Amino acid sequence: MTNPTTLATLLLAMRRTRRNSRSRFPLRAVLGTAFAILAAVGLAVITAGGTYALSNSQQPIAPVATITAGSAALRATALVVPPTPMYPGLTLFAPSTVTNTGTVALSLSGSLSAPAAPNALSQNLSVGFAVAPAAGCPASGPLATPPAGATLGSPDLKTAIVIPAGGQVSLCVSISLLPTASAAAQSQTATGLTLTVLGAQS
Amino acid sequence: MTGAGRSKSASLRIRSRVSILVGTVLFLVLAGAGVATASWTASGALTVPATAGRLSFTQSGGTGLAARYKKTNLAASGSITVTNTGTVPGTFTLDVNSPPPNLFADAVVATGWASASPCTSTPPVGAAVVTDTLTNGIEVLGASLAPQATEYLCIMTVITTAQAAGNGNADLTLTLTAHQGSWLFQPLPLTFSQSANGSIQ
Repeated sequence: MTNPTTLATLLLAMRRTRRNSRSRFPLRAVLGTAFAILAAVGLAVITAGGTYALSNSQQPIAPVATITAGSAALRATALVVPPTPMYPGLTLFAPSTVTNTGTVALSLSGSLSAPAAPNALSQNLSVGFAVAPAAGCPASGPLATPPAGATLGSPDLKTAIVIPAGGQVSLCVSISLLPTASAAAQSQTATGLTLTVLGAQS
Repeated sequence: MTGAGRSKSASLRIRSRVSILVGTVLFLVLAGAGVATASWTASGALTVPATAGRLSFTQSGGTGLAARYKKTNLAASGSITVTNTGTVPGTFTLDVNSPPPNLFADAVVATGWASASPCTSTPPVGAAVVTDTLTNGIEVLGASLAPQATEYLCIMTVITTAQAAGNGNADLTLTLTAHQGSWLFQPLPLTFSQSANGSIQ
């Protein structure tokens, strides 16, 4: 049995709560806000561009349907540099064949990384590459189209060389001792200097 | 609530909704408009071997330039043999002078030229011959020498008769400088004494 006084108090409290709620969240305001958000989503979808889809149907995939992802892979033959001792201003060339063994075309760039123990020679070398002329790489001297070179710490080399999928290109890798190389570089050997030929999907 | 108050409240509500609308549109556009890109890369590493050479030259000879002049002997000559003993090619110059200047050095005229073959008493046709007093000095230009190659520098000195009749002396200094780009190499200079003693005929 409910106490009539308690029931009356509860009803009074419920009415007060409803009145307060109505005054804080009137139905029109809630509906208006909902409409505003809906309109905003619509506008956003229109302005943002792109395609939107919601897949909601199912179809068993036939076992013969195969989706294969592409791949990017490069292979470069090792450098055989002429045994000529280097001096300031001298450029030596070494051929390297770079093969795109992947399934997408790759555009080439390069970067030079320091050996574990840099010395006055490695710090004064500039290394670059260009497509080899038809006659092949000369042992030394300038090329008709001199390759851009990178030194340690310089930005990566950008080239316009693109190798199609499955294709290959013959490069002349240039190794130059800067004309300003210090005398401390004399008789030194640079070991561990690495040219990384990077292929990016083009 | 008065009419003005209701109008103000409605205006606030509209402004609030517009703000929500604009904010939501901006949020969704900025969050959703980004285009995700991805590309595949591959790389191959090439070891770059390099060895630097060494620039080194030697000079020898020229002993005939050590002279004691007299009235019957007014000239001296010497052949300097220059050899590239390094592992890279290089060019070179030979400076001949007599510091500090003195009257004796003013009276001695030096002449020099480079030759691929051993020196003779006269320069070969087409040789670049330089002449000046020992005080001013001369600079003889050598050819570009490959490693292990040799060239000869021919130096002659002649004193005036009047100075040969007097007394005096000077030291000839021959300074060789080899160049290859920014590299320089200087072996120890050669020095020869010359003198005149008028009492000796």
